[in-house]
Amino acid sequence: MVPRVVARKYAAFALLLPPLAFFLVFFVCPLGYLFFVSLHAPSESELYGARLTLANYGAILGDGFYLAIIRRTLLLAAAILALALVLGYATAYLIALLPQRLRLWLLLLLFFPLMVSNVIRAYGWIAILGRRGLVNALLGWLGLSAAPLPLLYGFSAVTLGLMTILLPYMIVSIVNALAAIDRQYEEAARSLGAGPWRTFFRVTLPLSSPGVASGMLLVFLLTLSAYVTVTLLGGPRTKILVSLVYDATTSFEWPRAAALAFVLLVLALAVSAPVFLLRRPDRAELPR
Amino acid sequence: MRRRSFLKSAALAGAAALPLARAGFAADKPAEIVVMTWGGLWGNALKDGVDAAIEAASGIKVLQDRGASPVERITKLKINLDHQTFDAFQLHDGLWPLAVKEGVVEPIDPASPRLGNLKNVYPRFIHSHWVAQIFSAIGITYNTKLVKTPPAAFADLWRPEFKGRIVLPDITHSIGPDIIAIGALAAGKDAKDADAGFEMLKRMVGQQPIWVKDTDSIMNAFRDEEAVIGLLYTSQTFTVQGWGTPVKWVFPAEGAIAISWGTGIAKNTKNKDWAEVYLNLTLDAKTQPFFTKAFNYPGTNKGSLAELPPELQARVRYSDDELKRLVELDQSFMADHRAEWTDRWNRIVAAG
Amino acid sequence: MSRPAAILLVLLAGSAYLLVLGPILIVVASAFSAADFFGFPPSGLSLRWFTSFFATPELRAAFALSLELALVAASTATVCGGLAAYVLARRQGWLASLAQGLFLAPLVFPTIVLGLALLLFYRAIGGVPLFLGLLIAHTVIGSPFAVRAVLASLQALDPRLEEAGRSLGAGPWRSFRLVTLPLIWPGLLSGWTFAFIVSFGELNTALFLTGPGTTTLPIEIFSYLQFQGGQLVIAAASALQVGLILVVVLVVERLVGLTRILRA
Repeated sequence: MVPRVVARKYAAFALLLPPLAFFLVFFVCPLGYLFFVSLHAPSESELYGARLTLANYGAILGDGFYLAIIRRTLLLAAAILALALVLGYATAYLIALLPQRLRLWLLLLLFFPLMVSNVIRAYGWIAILGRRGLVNALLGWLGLSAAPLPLLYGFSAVTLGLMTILLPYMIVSIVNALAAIDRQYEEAARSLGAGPWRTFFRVTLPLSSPGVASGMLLVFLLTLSAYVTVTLLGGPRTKILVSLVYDATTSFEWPRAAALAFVLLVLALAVSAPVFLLRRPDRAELPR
Repeated sequence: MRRRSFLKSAALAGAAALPLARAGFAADKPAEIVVMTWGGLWGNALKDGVDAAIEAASGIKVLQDRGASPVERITKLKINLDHQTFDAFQLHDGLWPLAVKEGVVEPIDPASPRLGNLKNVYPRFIHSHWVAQIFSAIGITYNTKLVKTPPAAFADLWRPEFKGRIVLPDITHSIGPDIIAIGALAAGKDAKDADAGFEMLKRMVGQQPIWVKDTDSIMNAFRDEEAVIGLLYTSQTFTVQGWGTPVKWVFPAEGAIAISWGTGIAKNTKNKDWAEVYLNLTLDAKTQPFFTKAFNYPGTNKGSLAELPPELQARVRYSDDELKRLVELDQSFMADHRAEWTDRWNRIVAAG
Repeated sequence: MSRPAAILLVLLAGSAYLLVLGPILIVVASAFSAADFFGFPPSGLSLRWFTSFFATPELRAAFALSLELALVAASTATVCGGLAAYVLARRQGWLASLAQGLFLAPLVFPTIVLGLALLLFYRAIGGVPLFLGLLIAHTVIGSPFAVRAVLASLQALDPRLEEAGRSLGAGPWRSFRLVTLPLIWPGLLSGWTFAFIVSFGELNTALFLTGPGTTTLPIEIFSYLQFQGGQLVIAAASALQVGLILVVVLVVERLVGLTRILRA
């Protein structure tokens, strides 16, 4: 028995080795080099200067401007999460109620738009929200607005644009979780006298929480790195941390860009870590 | 654009052949040379005008690398320095100082037998490491239908009636840093007075302009009527007019800002002689009209204007007075300060 | 379910679908427009942008390359991420959490810096062929999706099922193949699909890792949108992408019967 268990442990490690090695070589190593770059001063004639320094990080973390940008990044992410959760859960709930085949097609319908580049989808939103776009045309035709409204280049446009990209991820995560819940739990609760809302909040929601957590994590991480949508649909006032990474690259400040990227990474991990640690790997052990 | 006649190619081949015949070549002829440039209509114009000529005259194919944005071009060249895969590349005037500093450009040899066209180029467009191919000027473009009192100076951009309807290049745009110089000029100060420029920028924030990342977005903003006034090149203003939007370009009282685009030779290229031939062809009076016809950019070769039909000539030429009043920004100075200005700009505009 | 609750659900779900599909419908509709730009309302119908797309060899080549790259990268990402998820699913503790964090990290790291890092790394190890370099980058970027999807499937799976198979005499591989694999199949497929989509649309590492002669479709689109390249031929390209997926899905459905495979 004991050698068998040990063999299983080694087998598991052996399975993990290829992906781990791949990631160590092609992700951690380049990233390590990048971290090394972020510890240097900028240079006018090289990718990075000769002097080792922590100034890049000091400049970011000790500066009210960058802290304000970080705050803005987190606020945007929070708003996106709330919206995606409400819309996503509602949609997922509805989809999960439907028969298998219809469910599949509805989910696939969500995937099609992801095939199209973010830039093009942003142009689609510009065609909808622009002064001569769809929304303004409708408002004018219905007589609801005397002049075209400036709907673009602000947080609302960015939020809508991000919803386009992020909702499918949220919905799919939750549908998978909801579909896996055995109907018997809900029926049991109902037969015990719980009303529909109570059943939902006490049984369905908790049982679907792994999917919800997974979806929220994914949406959060993707919001942090959503450069294209934020830039094309927003303006300087909507610049978030990832925008500053790109700004640093256009002014050829590679150490600064690297440092900002790592601050972003740490931010992401800081928020995600609790989700990892609190997660229960096994399914809820409810009596059958 | 693709349907150029064989005759045109033949004429271009003739243009290329003469200097080729006279030039001596140090190395063997390569099968192809690689040029980094922009895509879209620009890359196509380059393909039809210059690439076709060099291929017709020598059989060498030109492989365009359109995939990188200008700063990435410099980075790729830098990383490949000891194993250079590129031969020539194109940038606008604002980025050449950075390319030179990074050591990714070969110096131009004015005495080279392969650079015969240099003597026909206006001297202001010949630099130590690159030569401009076409030029234009940044001025004020405005919608004649929606703007009651036409603007006459950069300072007019700060008029309250334009609030929310101005389109300007974001700091990351290739001409983004120019707004500082323009602000300084509008305040009556010297173009290098950065503090004056940033003071004006603070006031511009109150105007709630639309800041965009690229020139096409500026043009689209005019077409979609998101903006009624903004900064744009003369050439692109003609394009917007062609789209049916009633816009007009104004040479500002403070002086329009000169801007040019050109070619340089990649450092450690394996095909330096042929890169020179390529560079020379971009300066040819017969190839530059391709760009004038596509974009309304005048060429830097003194003879290129004469190759154009009269209406186009009249449209793209700048009067002698205008040429005198063109403001040449100190691109080296601006390149040195790009990082600092980007940061300062973000603090003023992006902090919100 | 009560009436008002049902109506609310339908409204919310409808809004969600509108948000997701709206811009795409506009883009696909614009591909058939006779005008030169996105605009509303469209001024006429025309197929010229489709002909323009097919007439442009660079776009066709880029389309083919992106497709090939995405197919391979999605598969490698699924294998890589799936293996990692399989091993990490049942483990707790900070080491497992750290490993999970590692495999999910590419999701958040700005790909433009990752692209530069990989380019520098490739040069440091003596140079890597362009396609392989892109493949590696896209595998790294796609793996998190596979990890997530397979993890979710495994977490929903009762571990006792695999144990049961084991106790009935099946070896670990057989038990995996006959018990676990069919049950995590939806997760694998879902991860593969996300990895495919991400690779197909990936721009920022490609900006550094493509080179002359090897361009992906997003790069080609990017370069096209510089200098008045024509927005609507890109709309046509996008419409074609969507159409392609539709065709693929329909064919697979016919041949294999997706619904049967995806029995939850």
